[in-house]
Amino acid sequence: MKALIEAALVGLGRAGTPPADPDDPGERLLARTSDLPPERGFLLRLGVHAVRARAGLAPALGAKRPETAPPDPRAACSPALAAIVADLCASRSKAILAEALARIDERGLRLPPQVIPALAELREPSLLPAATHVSGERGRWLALHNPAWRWLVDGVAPASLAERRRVWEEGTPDARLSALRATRLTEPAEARGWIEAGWKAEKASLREEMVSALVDNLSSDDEPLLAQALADRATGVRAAASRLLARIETSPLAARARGRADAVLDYTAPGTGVFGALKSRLAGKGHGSLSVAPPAAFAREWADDGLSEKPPAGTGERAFWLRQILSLVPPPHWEQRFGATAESLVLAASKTEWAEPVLAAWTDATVRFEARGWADQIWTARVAREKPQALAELAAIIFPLMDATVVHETAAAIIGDGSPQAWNGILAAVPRPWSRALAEAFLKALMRAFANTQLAWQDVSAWRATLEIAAPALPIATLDHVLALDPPSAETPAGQLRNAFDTFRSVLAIRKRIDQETRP
Amino acid sequence: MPLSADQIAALAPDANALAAGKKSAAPRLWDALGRSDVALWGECKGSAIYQVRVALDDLAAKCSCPSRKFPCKHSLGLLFLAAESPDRVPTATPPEWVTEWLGKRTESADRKKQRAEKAAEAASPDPEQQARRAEKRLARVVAGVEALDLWLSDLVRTGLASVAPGDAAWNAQAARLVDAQAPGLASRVRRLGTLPRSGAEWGDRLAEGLGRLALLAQATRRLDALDAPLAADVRMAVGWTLERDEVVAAGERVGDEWAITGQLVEDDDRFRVQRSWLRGLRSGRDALVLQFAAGPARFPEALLPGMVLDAELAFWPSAQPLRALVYERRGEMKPLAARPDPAGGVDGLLDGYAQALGRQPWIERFPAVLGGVVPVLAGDAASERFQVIDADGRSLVLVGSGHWKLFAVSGGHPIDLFGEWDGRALLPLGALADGSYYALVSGEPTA
Repeated sequence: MKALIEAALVGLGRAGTPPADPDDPGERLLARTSDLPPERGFLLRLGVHAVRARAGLAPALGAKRPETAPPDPRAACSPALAAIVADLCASRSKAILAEALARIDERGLRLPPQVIPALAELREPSLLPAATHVSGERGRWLALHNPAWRWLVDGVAPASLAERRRVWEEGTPDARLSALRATRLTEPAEARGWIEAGWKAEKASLREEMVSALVDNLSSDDEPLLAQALADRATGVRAAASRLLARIETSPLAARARGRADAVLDYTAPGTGVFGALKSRLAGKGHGSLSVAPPAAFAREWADDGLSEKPPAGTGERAFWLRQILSLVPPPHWEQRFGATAESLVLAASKTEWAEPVLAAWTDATVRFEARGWADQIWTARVAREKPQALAELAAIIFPLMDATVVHETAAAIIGDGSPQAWNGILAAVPRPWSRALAEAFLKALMRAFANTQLAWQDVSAWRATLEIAAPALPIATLDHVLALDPPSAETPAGQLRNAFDTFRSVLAIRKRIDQETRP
Repeated sequence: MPLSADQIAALAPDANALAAGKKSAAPRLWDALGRSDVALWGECKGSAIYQVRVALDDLAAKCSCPSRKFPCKHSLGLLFLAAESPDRVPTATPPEWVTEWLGKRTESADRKKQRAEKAAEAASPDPEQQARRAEKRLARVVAGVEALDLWLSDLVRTGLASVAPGDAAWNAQAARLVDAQAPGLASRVRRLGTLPRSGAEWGDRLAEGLGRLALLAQATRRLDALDAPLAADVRMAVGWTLERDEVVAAGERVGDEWAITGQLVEDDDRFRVQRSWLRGLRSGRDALVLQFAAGPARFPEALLPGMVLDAELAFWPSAQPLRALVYERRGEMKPLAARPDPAGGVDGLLDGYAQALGRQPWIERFPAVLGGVVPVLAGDAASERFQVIDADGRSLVLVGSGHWKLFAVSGGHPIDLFGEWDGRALLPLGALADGSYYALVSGEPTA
């Protein structure tokens, strides 16, 4: 065969016709065609050999079977639900997918195997840990065979400490970090021990993550390790260490930060006694007053604690230093120091000429130190002062620190008297699912928009975004009601929302089916 | 009939219709829903109220909407709705607009049958004229084949290594064969023309293809000397076609419960070609049903992979009968639950294929029903190259892409696999694991 193919490639004109082998049964078949022109005879020989080669193909031997996936203790979810999940993976609808996976997980069910590759292919850590739980043993098995799917198992630490210890010693970087973080939550000293032991040999990016993992259950016991990290050769590691040290009250770094900050703020309580209170109120100072004295010069040694001297264009030097100095101090410090509530302090700050940098710094500090008691106050003070765009950014960082009930009330109030252009950014940051009251406020506003014959086109397009935000967020209990609503009339300006409203309802219909399929 | 979402999706003419169909499944859009032993119906609120009805035996649908897609989104929506929330579609007495349509369907089916019988009886209106026409065509084909032989001879004399890829010469030769009324040969030439310098071992594949084409040309010249069934194969390969009536009249008819083991749709420029592989549960016979649809039109026969169809098939005359058409359906399709035997390992498949080649050497695709094979990743994960290995440790390479689903379904355990064997590699189309059928939509094999 090989000789024939070579001759065909080179050309019979140059290579000549390879001689026939009279013992070959294939060639013998062609004996009767010997009177044909040589090229045609050759082509027929090629054909006979090709057919015989196909018929005589020998299968390969020696391929290795993979180890079998262990059986899954969980039962599979319904085929209908699996089909929905497959659709959601294909359309990358992360919010609804997250809801579906969480519901399947809550019921203690798993996905059937054929859906897992599509889910694994998303590589979406925000779906953890539900994605891991519902992929079950088959997902774990698949991840062993496809490194791109490791996130599915590496993102979630095993339950037992012994197993986590093994992962810490043998796992991939992601798996090790998951094990470290999980251990830090329950056995903080053990986790610190792991870092101390293996610390020097690791890459800078991993060292940074390891240091950052100390954030849970942070205590003065972590100081020596952090002090060591503060001298690390990588900037990222140093920055992570200094962030954490600032949170340990007893650390010299935190003490220096407090010292710097104490020098720039002072507070006078409202007058005491009947006369004092009256005097304060007449002076408009029911919450006391804050005096702010930003530094006049940048001290060299501040740079060692991570402060920068040069402000970005458009920001004054003193305001820039002030903001940095205040943002490194946990806000509750001021409550202790001045014996005043967060509410009084924030209100007083709003009234100073340095209100903007002080409130910005306190926002940074509230987020950095997760000062939940301050989040409401910061939000209230800044809503009164700022434009929707800035508020959307603020909402994204501050809402997670606020009580969900309060956020929902806040959002309902904003929907009550704002326009969709103003509220979309804020609404996107509201935790899901929405409260019933918020859902009702949303529906009331929607019905008003449907009925509004003067609805501006900017509002129409903003409503499209609102519908997209609301679709995954409305509470399950309201779905039936919303699904029964009539679309906007084609004659009104809101008629342009008919397609968006259709999509909105089809998302709700999918959520309703997810709910039905996961009911016990 | 419990249809899965996958199976309903297989009915959709395109992805848009499928997405729209899923949307149309919302219960709030529907009114007057009902089902009987033979049909589903309902009124769908779209831009207007549409009356939608679906026959359960062949899943033919009729909707009063003006859509030119078949089935339309409302019909798909009704099927999805009935599958998702069966309790929303209660058993009821069909309204008049349903019974009327069902009546018309029976009538037209009867008429068709009568026509077919008449055509079979009538045989040929003017045998003499027909014979003359056939003789004339044969002469043209043989002249075309002679020219083809000269062209092939030139090719091997100068050598394949000097052939340029995408050479216009291939298309010109194909066009000459179309003129000679041998479209089957023409498309073989066109396909061979894509091989030069196209991946590993292209020289081997091209030389083998040319050799097989030369064998076909030789067989065409000696058509008279061949046994009737093999002559029929050669005629089909060259491009003689048979009408449905002719197949019904001349071919073998086999009634059985046919498992639809796999399906593949290929998009041509102008039309879509659907290949469905069937396996008779009682006879163990294999059949290939080819269907063609232009643009968004639906394939005439609803064949859903993973279902069992009780029907009589008519096979094209052949030394190795595979291609068939659905002559008569009897009732609804049922889900396939157990492996349609006989199913062997790799050796069994290769033996069967060798025997088939002995009877009909131009077979292009051969049905594979493999029992108890394990999909194996060959090489690293990123390469996405897979094999299947049987109980005796023999393995075959899988072509196409997207085999992770198959791999996931198996989990390293033996499964039953259905596919197409082309003599070199296996294209998986369906799998049966733990009593469930999985349709495998593999990406197109890349040469």
